[in-house]
Amino acid sequence: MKNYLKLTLLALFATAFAFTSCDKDDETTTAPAEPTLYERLGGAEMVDDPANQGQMIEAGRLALRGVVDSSIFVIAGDTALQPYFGTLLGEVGSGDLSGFSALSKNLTDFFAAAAGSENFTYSGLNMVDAHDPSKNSRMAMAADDAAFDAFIADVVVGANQNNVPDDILGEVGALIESLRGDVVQK
Amino acid sequence: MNKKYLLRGLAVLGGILGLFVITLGVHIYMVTRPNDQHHMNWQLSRIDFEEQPDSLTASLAVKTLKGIEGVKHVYLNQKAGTLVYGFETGKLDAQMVFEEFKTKGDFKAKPYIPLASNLSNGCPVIDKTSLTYRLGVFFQNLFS
Repeated sequence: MKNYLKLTLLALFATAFAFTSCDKDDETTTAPAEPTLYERLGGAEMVDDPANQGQMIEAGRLALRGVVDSSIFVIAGDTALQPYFGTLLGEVGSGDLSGFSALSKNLTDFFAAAAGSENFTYSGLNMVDAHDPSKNSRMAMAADDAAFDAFIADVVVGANQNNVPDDILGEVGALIESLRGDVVQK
Repeated sequence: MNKKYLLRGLAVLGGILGLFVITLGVHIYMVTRPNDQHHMNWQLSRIDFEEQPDSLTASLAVKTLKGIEGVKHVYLNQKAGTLVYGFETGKLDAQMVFEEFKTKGDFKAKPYIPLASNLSNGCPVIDKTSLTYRLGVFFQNLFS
C-alpha cells in the first residue's frame, strides 16, 4: 500500500514538473500572438445589440455590421453600381428575404471570417466564382476596375459614418483591395 | 400511503424544476449566443430627385423622410440626387412612404423602381437556392 502511495506521489511530482517545464519553454520561445483585426474591433466579447433589444452580439461583429449596413445604403444610392446591386432595391413580400437583409448577413459573415472571427464563417461562393457571370447567374456582368473602385469608395463612406479609426479603415481597405484580382474579371 | 404521495409530489416538483432549468438554459443560450437576425425584415427603397437637389432641399428631404413613422435609416447622395431609406416590411411599403413624403413636401422626385432584369441578376451574393437564404426566410417567417 505504501509503495502505491509513493508511486502516486512520484507520478504527480513528475507531471507537475513536466507541465512547469512546458510553461517555461512557451514563455521563452513563443511570442505573444498579434491580435487579429476582429479582436481589435472588440472580438468575441458579447455586448448588447443596440438594434435588437435583449439580444447580445459579439463586439467585433457589431462593428463590422455597422460598416457593412452603412455601406449598403451608400451602394444603393450609387447609380454607378446600380447594375450590380439592383436586387437591393427590389421590394419583396413579407414572406421573402429582402436583398438588404441577405447582403448584410453575407457581407458581415465574409468580413468577420476574413478579419479573424472564430464563431462566424462565410458559406457563400468563393470570390472568383461569385463574380463570374458564367458561374453565377446572379452576377449581372463582369465587374471592371471602375466598379471596384466605386465599391471601395462607398465602403469608405460607410466606414466614416461609423467613425472607424483610420488605421482600422486602412486594414479593411487593404482586405478589400486584396480581393480585386478575384472580383475584377473584365 | 403518505410516503407514496410525498414521493409523487417530489417527482412532480422535480419535473417542474427540471423543465424550468431547461427553459432557463435555452433562454440564456438564445440571448447570449452569437446571433445576428436584427434586420431580417428590413427593406431598402430609393427616391430619385429629378435634378440634383440644393443643400436646403436635401436637408429638408432627409428630415421629412426621417419623420415618417417606420422609416429606420436614411442616406442621401446629394451629387447623384438619390435618397435611400430602410423600413420594416409588413408595416410599410415603398409606395406608402413615397406618398407621405410627397404630401409633406413639394419635392420634384419619383420612387425608384428597379427593372425586372436588375431583380433577376442584381446581386452576386444572393443565391435563392442556398441553405443560408432558405434559413433566413425560415427565421423571418418564424418571427414575423
